[in-house]
Amino acid sequence: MRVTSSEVYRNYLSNLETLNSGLNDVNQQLSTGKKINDLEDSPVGSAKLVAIADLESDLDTYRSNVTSGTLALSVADSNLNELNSLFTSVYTKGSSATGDTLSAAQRSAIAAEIRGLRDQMLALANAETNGRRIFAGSRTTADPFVLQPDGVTVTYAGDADINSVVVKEKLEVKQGVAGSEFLSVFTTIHDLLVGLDANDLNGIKSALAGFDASMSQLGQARAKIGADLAVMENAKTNLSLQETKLKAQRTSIEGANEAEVIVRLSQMQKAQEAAISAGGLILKQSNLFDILG
Amino acid sequence: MPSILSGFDTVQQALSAHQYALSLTQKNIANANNEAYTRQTAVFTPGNGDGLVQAQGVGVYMQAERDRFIDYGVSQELQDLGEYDVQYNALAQIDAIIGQSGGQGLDRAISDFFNSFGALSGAPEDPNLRQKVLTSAEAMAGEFRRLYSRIQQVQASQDQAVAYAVDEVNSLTSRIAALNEQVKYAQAAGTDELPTLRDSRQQLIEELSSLVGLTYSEDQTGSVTVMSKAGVPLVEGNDSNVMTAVAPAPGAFREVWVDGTNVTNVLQSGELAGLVDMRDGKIPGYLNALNNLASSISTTVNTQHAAGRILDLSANGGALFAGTAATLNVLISDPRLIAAAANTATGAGNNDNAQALAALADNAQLALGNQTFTQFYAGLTYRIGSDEATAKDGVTVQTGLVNSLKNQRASQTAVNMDEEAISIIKFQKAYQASARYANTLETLSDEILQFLGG
Repeated sequence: MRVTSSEVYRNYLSNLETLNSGLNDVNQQLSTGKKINDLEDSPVGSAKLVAIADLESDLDTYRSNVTSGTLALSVADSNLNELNSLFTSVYTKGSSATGDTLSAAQRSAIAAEIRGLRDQMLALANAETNGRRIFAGSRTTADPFVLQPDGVTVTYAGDADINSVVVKEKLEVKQGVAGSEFLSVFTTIHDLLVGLDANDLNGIKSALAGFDASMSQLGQARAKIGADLAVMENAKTNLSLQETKLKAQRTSIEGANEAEVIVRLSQMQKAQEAAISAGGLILKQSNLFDILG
Repeated sequence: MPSILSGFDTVQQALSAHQYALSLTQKNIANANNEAYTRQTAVFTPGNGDGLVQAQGVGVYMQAERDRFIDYGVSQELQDLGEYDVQYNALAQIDAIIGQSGGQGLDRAISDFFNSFGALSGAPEDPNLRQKVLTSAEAMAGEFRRLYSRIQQVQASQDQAVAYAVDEVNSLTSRIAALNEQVKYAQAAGTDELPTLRDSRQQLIEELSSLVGLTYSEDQTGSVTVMSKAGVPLVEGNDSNVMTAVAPAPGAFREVWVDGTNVTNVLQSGELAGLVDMRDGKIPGYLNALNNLASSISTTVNTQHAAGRILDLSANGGALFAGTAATLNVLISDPRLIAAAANTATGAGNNDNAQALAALADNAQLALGNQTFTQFYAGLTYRIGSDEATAKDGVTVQTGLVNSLKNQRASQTAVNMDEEAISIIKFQKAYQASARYANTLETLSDEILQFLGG
């Protein structure tokens, strides 16, 4: 077959273009670390990556909910613990007032001490994180436990509506307990103070008898919080696992295998060098005119 | 019996013939790198050939044959190449607009928006988290508007390119028509320019083939009729039909008309067909998809938002979004007006509606073919990526086909420098031999004259 120089040049150029374009792709993969840099590199892969990105973004939300939820629950947990100790101290002090030999003045002194303890408990019960009262249900902008002007009655101004947050797909966790679940603690103290103020031994004794029930209510509230904290902890661990899995999926779809890319790069560079020097020879090739001179 | 004097005639013919042959060789060498050129070979005939030199001695005529079959093949493949080429260019631009695949573009903005409600559910009264919802809503709306506008710009540039292509078509068809005239005369008169004229005309036909789908045929007079694949003649004899690209109404896209016929949708192949397909087919498809997505998000969010209460629980939530993908904007600017609480909430800390709003992202939407927002968007990117890959492959394959055909053609009709070098030697030697013969004749006739003259 007749081979003319135009065919030779055309083939040479077309081969160089193919090599150059291939080198360009490989270089891009090396610098981005990804084998999908344009939609057309893999339409299917690109669509899958959109789905993965969506899941990754969900994980961000779960993570922030786990963080804020854990904070709220931890504060609730530690506050209720302290509340429990203070309540126990109130009981002890109250018990010490049942002695037959105590005077009204002594009982008054004890009442004052108990008032002090109760005020500390109120502060704990009205605690807030990030500006929200944690034991107020959904009425988070005002103190849920309000001491009435009579100095002994405590009323609950919150509600029973506790928020839950999503920490895993289809898993919601409550962020705390409503104050109404341990209001009886303050009611019992109210009864005790009334008895002490009136120096009424029977009243004092009957108030003290109610402490058990209140204690157990408080215990149940603490247990709920403990359980929710455990779920949060699990969710956090699960999140890390999920993130790792997603990263692996993402890498498998779009990650360029660095070793493979480097090998291909050097292969193609060699091919390009060979093509160019072969082409150089072709271009330099003399025809008869050079020889006939 | 031929005399000595008639011998001079023979020599003269031989010298002319070989001089002519040398001139052809020189022409070939000069055109060695002209892709459109068909090499011209000198064919020697004894005596009375139908060549340029008629006599008893030697005749020579010039031969330069194109392979019409290959020529036609090149023209056809160039049409598909032109079509894929412009489509790939446009799609590569759109790819760049959509942004890096997997999590940087609109899909990111949509995810962030719905997740901002998720974050809000942790502390619905928090003014920062409320502001974050508005900010992500703005970001998402902005991304919709940006994508829509940029893709529309690509569409407009396709329309502009239609006008430029039509101008080029007209320039080519009028030049082909003019060449038809010249070829007819050259063929009738049998002049030497004929092959060169044919070469030029074929080159123009090939340029035209890139632009518009066509078929062509040559008649006995040498004139080529070029028909657009839409069935309308582009060139007939020395007449060319002017193609126009005019918008039928202000703001509309250009229609392509030839010879009183609207051929916009039946161009079939070539750059013009590719441009029109992008402008009127593919791009509107992408824009519609964006509109559907924006409208679906806007409607579902507005509906759910209206089912909740604003911060101070005094009223239900108002519409958050308005507009289509091109004009999507956020109607609320006061963070306190975000309805995070349920309708039945007793306190501002209730997060039921925020949760419900966040959960919208997981719902399959009937209007989107029972896909979630993200699934629908993934489908759109798949469509664009796959259209792009198809166009790119088309360009590669067609380029290969065209090159292969051109190589085939070149092997028959292109110039090979070694051949020409040898031809020069051949003709030169023959010329020298004839000249030497003339010398001999001269010597002989001198002797005869001396003989006669004394």
